[in-house]
Amino acid sequence: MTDIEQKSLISEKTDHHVEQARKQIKDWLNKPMRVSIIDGRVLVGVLLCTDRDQNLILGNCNEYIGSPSEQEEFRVLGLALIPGQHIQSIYIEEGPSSIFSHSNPSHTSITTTNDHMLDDDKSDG
Amino acid sequence: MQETIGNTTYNWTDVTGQFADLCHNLNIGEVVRDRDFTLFEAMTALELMDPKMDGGMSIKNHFQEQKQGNRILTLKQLIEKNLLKISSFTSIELIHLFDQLLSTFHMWLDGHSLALTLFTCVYLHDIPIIEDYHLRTICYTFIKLIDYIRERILLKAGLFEEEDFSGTLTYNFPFYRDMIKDQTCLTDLKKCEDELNKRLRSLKHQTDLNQLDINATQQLIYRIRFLRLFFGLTLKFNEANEKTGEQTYLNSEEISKTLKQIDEILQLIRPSHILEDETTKTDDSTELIIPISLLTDISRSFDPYYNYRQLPPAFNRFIRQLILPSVVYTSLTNLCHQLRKMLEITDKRTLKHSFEFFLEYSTNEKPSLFIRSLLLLSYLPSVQGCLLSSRKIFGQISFAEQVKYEIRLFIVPPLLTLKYITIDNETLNYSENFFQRACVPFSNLFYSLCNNRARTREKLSNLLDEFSVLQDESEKLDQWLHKYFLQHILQANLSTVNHQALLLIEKTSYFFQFILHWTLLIMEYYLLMGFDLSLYSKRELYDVYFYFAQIILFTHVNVYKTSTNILNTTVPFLVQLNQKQQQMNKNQINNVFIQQLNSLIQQHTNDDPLQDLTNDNSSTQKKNKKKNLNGIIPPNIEYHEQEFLLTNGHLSMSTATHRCLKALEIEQRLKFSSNDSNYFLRDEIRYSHRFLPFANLCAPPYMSHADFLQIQHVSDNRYTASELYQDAINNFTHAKTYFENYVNRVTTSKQHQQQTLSRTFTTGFTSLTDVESYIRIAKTNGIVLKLLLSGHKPDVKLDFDFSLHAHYPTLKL
Repeated sequence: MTDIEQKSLISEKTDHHVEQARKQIKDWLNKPMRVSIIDGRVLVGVLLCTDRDQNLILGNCNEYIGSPSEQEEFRVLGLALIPGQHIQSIYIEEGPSSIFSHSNPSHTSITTTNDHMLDDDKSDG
Repeated sequence: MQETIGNTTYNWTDVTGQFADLCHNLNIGEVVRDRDFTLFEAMTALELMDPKMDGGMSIKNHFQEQKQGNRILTLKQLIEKNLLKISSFTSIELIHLFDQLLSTFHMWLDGHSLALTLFTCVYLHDIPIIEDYHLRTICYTFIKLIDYIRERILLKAGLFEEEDFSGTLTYNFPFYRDMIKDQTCLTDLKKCEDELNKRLRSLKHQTDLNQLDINATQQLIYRIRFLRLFFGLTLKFNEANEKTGEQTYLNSEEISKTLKQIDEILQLIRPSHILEDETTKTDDSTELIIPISLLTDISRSFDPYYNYRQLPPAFNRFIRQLILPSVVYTSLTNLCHQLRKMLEITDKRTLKHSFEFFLEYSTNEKPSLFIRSLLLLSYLPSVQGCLLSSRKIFGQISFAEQVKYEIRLFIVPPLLTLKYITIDNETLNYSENFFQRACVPFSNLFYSLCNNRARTREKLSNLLDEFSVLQDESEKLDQWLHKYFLQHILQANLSTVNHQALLLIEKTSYFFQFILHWTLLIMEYYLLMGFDLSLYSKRELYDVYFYFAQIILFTHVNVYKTSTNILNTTVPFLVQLNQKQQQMNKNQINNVFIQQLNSLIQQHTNDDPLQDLTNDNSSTQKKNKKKNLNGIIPPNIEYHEQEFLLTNGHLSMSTATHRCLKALEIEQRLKFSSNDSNYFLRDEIRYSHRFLPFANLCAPPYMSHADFLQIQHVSDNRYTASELYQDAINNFTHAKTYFENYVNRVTTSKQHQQQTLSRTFTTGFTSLTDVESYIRIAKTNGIVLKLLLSGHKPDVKLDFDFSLHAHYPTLKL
């Protein structure tokens, strides 16, 4: 086995690993998620997007202070970005019959682009 | 773990560690997302733990307090439990309540929500329950005041943004519309004042003088008088006529009188200052010291969380600390100052002067939403069901009339200057149509200028589309009128036909030039606002200065030249024509437009270009002028002189800047360019984004990026760095001369004109203070460039410094 072959094998192996991680996260997309952050708030919403630093974007997100089951009051945040560094714990509902399944068209309403017009000058310069 | 939230039960699995591991496998910058989810959407996400975005951040502590049984009590409960009193307040207590209310009012004006400001005062939730007459009146007045500002000023002006007042201007709070009238509040306040004055007198006659009580009563009287005057002042803006429900127009004299009274009262009021620790004594007599022990009876009068349960869930819960009364009173003094300055708009009788005033006011005063709304309503009072374009300036002059008058001032088109021509119906309709259409963009322009600066810029870019349509229209109108007037003038059969003037009239596109003039003004302001808002990156400076100079300002200089030439050449001719026909027509003015404009023209006889020549028995000075104008082209430029100097100054300035950018780039002497071989000129996307609003205009024609590169290739690229340096130096010198001349003209003419007070020191889009900075920049840059040219410090890289003025950089060695 030449060096090059060996290298390619290793990279294939890691590639495989990365691919699996990617797949697992992809499976979790659009599933309900319960994230608590360090100041004690709990956020419940569906996972839409994440990256290496665990920055999460949750759709249809509600904010609870303390335990959500005890709290009658909550704040509707809608689309929320949780920076990875503030996350304390993550729970996910993995049920196969998730109502937020990918193919469900009703889900798309979470992130319609209606009022997402950006003032493009703010994004540059 | 199972958890029921609302109606849904979740089966949670803890994936904290697993998730972190999985994420760690991702590459840097890689994002796992759903197909439907775009990063563009992600931009709109609310970022948690971000102090600016995340309103929930600060609330946690309060919740922990609440859990310990610290429930919010309603006003009724508070009264039942004897926690709050509703009668027999001392003056000190009233002063405290007043200052707190004023502070929350001030916060509300700043754009916070009513629920988190004024209505944190528990009394406001049920005013009739209050037994104390003074407090009840004060509370009613505050309610009426916000109701009026909201209903008749902010909503009428329609300038507020989504985020102002936390996204809502409508509330379910009681406003007692049917119970109390605005005027009742004013009379009630007056009664309070009288009653307190009586009390003050009796206090002074008591044997044992209670100095604190006397002072407090006196201060309370001042406060109530202030509130009465301030409410009265607010009511004067955009007030509805009681019978017709229509607008009453601004009475600036009355308003400035009230402003003066308010100013005097504000001088007398000593802001209250609560002393929590009574052992420390301050000798500061500017503040009214209130020991906290005197306020125990009303300690629960303000509850920041009172409305908490009524707030919609998505509402911002972030509550700011109350502003100190001393700060509130100072900022109210500033408010008065701004209002007084704002009243100067009533002196501005032309669109150009108003435009200049709006620009100057928004730059110098940085007015808040409240003031901007007042400005718009003062300039264009809103009438029920009336479109913006059909509103009248100061409620008197329609835009169509004003535009006609403005064109006449700018370029004396025969249509609007010849008194004795008869205009047939077709021409009349055709031109009237044009003026009516012009109302929309012009009224929009002033509306745009009242928005906040970022929004103004956006609106101006939309406005350019409307002006582009108007350019088309004006061209058509010009073509139509050309034929018409030649016929007419020939028919007049003048014995001494001035051929040159005739030729000029024939060749001039009057209306097009006028519309082009305004288009260019907007374009110039639009580009410069980009600098003011620091939107441009250093990479695109070259593009911006190039476009500004070579396309916009260059065209504008030509427009001014044309207009000046026409004024100089045709005014005597037109006057002659008018005089000739005057005898034939026996003073019967036939021109419908002149008939319409007559009142406007007579109001401003001094400004009218035709006026100084029509009066035959004028002073000798005017006769001299007449002589001068009768010459073919007079040697001195008189019309648009200031504008001409300024536009040329800007032209030289930005030409110099882009020349010197080019030279520095060739020599790789830019500090920030990071060794790119081609630092400027590369970004086609940025280029087209910056100048996109100009793309649809027919004049000045849009220069596409390809053309732009082509021109760079054939012109600037041929020159060496030293040639470019030399050219930049020359241009900076020119700019300096132009600007200095302008300053001289303005300062000398200032001495001549007596009405300096009401003048704006802005011409076009440039104010006098701008010009002073420009001169310094031109001077410095000229010197730096000379050093560079002589080979001084060849290795040192240069940086741009926009600290002297946002519009042009100073070069820093």
